Amino acid sequence: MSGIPDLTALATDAVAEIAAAPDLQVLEAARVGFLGRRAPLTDILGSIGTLPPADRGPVGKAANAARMAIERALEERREVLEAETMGAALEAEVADVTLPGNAYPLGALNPITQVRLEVEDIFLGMGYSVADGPEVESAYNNFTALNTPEGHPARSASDTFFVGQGDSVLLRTQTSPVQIRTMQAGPPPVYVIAPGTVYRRDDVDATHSPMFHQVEGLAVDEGLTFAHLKGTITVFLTRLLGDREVRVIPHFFPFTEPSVDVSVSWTDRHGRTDWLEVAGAGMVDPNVFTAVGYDPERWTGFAFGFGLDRIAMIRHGITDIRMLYEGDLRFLEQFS
Amino acid sequence: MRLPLEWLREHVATDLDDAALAERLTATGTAVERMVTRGIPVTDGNREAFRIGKVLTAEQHPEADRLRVLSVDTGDEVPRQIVCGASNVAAGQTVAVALPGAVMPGGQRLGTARLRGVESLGMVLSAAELDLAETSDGILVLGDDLAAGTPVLDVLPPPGTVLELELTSNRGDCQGIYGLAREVHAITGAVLHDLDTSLPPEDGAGDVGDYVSLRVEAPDLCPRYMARVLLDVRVGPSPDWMVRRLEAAGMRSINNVVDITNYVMLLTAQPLHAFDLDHLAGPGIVVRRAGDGEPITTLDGVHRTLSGDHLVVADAEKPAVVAGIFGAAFAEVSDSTTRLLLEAATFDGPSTIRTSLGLGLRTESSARFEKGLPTDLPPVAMAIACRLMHDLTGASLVPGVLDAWVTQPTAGPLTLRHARVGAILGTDIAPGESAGILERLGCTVQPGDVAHVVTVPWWRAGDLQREVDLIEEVGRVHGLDRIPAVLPRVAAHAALTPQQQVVRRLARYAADQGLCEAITYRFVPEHDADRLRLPGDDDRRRVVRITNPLSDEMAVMRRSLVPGLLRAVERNQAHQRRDGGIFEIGRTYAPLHDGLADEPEEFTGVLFGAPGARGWRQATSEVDVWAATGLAIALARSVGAVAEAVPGAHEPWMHPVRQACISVGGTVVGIAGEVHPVVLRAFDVRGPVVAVTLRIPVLDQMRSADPRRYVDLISVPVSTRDLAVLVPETVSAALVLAIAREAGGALVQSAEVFDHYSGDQVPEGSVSLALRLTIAEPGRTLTDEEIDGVTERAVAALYDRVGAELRS
Repeated sequence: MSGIPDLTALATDAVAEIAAAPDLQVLEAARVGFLGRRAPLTDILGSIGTLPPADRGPVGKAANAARMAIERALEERREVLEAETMGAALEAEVADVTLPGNAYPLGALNPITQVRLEVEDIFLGMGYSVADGPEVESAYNNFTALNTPEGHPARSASDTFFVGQGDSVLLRTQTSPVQIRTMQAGPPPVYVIAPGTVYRRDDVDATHSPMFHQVEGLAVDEGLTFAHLKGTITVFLTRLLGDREVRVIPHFFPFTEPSVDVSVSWTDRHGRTDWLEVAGAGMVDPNVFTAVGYDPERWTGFAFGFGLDRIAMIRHGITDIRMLYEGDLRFLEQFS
Repeated sequence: MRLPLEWLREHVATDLDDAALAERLTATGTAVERMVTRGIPVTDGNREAFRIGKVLTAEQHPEADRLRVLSVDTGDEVPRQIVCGASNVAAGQTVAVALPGAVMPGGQRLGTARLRGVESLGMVLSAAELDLAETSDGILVLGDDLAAGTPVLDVLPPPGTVLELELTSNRGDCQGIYGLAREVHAITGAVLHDLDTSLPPEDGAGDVGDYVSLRVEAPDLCPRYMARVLLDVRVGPSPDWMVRRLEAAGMRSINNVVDITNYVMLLTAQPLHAFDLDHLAGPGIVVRRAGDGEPITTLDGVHRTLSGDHLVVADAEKPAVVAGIFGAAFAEVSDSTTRLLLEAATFDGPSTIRTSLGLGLRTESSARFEKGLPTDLPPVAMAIACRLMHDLTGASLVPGVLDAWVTQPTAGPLTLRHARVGAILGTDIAPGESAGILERLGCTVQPGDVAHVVTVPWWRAGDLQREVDLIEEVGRVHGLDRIPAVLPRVAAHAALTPQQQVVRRLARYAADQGLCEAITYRFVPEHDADRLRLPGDDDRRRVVRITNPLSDEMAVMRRSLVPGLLRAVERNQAHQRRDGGIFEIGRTYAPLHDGLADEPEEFTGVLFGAPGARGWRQATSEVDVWAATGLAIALARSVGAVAEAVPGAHEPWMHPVRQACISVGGTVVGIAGEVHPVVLRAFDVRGPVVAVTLRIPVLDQMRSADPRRYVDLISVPVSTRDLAVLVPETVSAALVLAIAREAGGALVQSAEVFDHYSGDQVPEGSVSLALRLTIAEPGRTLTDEEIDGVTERAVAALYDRVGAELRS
């Protein structure tokens, strides 16, 4: 084997040196040194043809194995060194990620609107349409058709805003006239809610506003009972306000009978739990059906109403109703 | 209505305690707003801890001049040492003592105390500390017949719990203690005691007709008027028990005669009025409408002027009382009164309300008439009052009664079908139960297999007139909380209308652009029209006017959302807010001939200052007309309407030349631009402020209803060509784009302005516009010649039509 270098030792040395290369320049120099045109291994590979035929096979095989080992070592070391270099470069790109990111706009819907949309969606899911009627309304639709007789205190000029001459046109004091309009517009079955703006002649203070918002609900069908009213209002309130107890106690409204006040259990921020009145409801009075031409023996139904302002205030802890109507951005932006 | 339970329990023998009774009342519809208990709380501990004591000795405290050290026998084996600060304490007195552990009327628990070094094993009590009086001077000294150690609870008047009730307007019958006793009987089954309505002996001289006559000229407003005469009345103070009950019910004691009328009203709900017969100008009294302008001086000393709407009870000369509301001073009972005319009448409810509102006078009496009282009630109240007058004032009752009664035809019995009860309430209530409930409510029930036949008692005739009224009674007494909660099976289809969807989308989009939603008052001052610089003949000066506004600032219904939002901007600027965006979606109100209004919805947004997303490396710029048009077009686009800003808008409240119509396919859906500085000044707002207004019904109409078609600009190359042209500054960018588009033909997919320049580099009176044309044909690759042809045609047309020159 004279004249043939120790290729195994050469490869081992080369691989060791490559693995120790501290940076990419040294690695390149090592590549040139081991695999370049003047490298001993290159010479050996180039001179295989000059060897005796019997040696060509073993020497060629050993030389190729050495070259592959060196190439693999070079590649591995290059990957390591490149990763180190990039890592160092990235480390230098230090940034304070706690600085604000790019600003994107985000406004807010009024809390009343937010509650209204939720209410609408809950009832849409239960098969109710969303209706509305005029705010400048006839006294007939607002009172008479709703079983509120002439001379009732609610019909006085101290409680209700009137429009024009006399007392036949007014700013609706409730969304209930939409019930009448809906029933006048077509036969049952009726499943409708009517969110809207209503007006009462209250002076403005922290808990009163002469303009506020209600949602009215009306269901008329065959076989509807008070049990269905309870079921509907319970599902609705627990969806809107979370899992709480719902209580109904008897009350009086001119256009429903039996009538109830609906309360939910509510724990305030001092930890006190109490009943909070949130809605009025009842079975539609037969007189109302008669007034719109529905047969009260065939159809039964229920109606309910509640204040959006009140629910928004309860839900968000708003203590002054005026905030809802002032357009104060310091207030509104809290609800984005 | 205040309900003293001690008084109630005299009439109905319920064994429910106060709290349970309150809960049952609330659950059945008589809402208890508040429960107030006076006196020592009744507990086993307090029976032990409050005792009668005998003061054995009272020595001066060694360290304090004002304190005495007592030795008190409280029934224990040895006397106890108590330190007392009351000046009236003395040996030999019988007193009330609270021992350590006692829970005082206020709720605090008494402990042992050490006062200036001397231990005190209890407290000698004053009337105020026992909650028997508001204030007291010194300790309460009791009668010597009480034995030491006796529980105070057995000796003093029982503590009074008063329920404050909120009655519903249909329950006039519950405006008296006895009516509430009936209700408690109905809802608990407790035994109800009958009222004693027997008259005292009619031992007065003569007959009522000898003293007074009666004429009712307005029977429509006074269906019943009863009067009796009492002689030998001795006016004086009322007994303690009556004073206590009146006070517990919220009334003040005046004298025995007036107190009796009030007491009987509290008991029966029937208001009574006592006149001094000697002050009435004979011969008779008249129930009549007042004359217009007729004066009366009421009890409170106020001179009032009546009108023909008001009902009065008058003597021969003048009104002696505003019927059912307030008496005149001259006929009032005084200390010298000896002869009474006692009135028990039924006055019409609505008329009482009108009079009460008209005169600004609301009394315990008028409040009761307002809800409507039955004409069967006056004789009941009259008899009880006469009995009390006899017993407490020594009066003798003159035989005979004046009674003008317009009897109403009584309604027949009602039919209550068992099936209907279930159909309304949704739960089966056995016929036996419904009959029992109605009987406890005072009805007479003839039971039947299919239906009961029910006769309603006179005290409920006003509100139980139909089958459904009975069903409500059955339901509430049965317990609405016992009825199950069931969801109905709704066989209906529901979806928002297209316009409802537009409103939602616009609100959401505006909020996503950083605007906040305001809701402003829809009644506005009428001079908003002037502040908006609307000319005299502008349609928006026609408004829906409120007859009885709260103030001039809330006098008319708005025709525009702009003033409300400018006021909101002003409020925000007032607290140093420089930039922002606010929008509102709501109705405006245009009067119609029939007195109602057209109420179209409108979107208005205002931007002020330099709003927008701003950060440490992001700047925002002050708003101008393009901030408004850009927002308007984006809003329209968000609801599927392709809009453009075109000139031709002439809103007087906007900058004369910095405003644009927002147009969709040639139809104006809104307006956008800068708000006129004079308008800003009128609203105290600092500029710049821009506004966008969209008419929602019109915008909804102009939306493309069809689903958008896909255009294949993906599988073919799309070319862009940029052109810079010089045009006279009077030529609008919209026109330039339209010409380029039209000349380029169908191959032009879009034409946009991407730069605009005027200044040194271009001739005076010209502007440089940079246009970008996007050129392609779906499904086909264009040749270079075709593409160049487009730009050439565009350039030529721009030159021909508006004299545009190509810039190199």
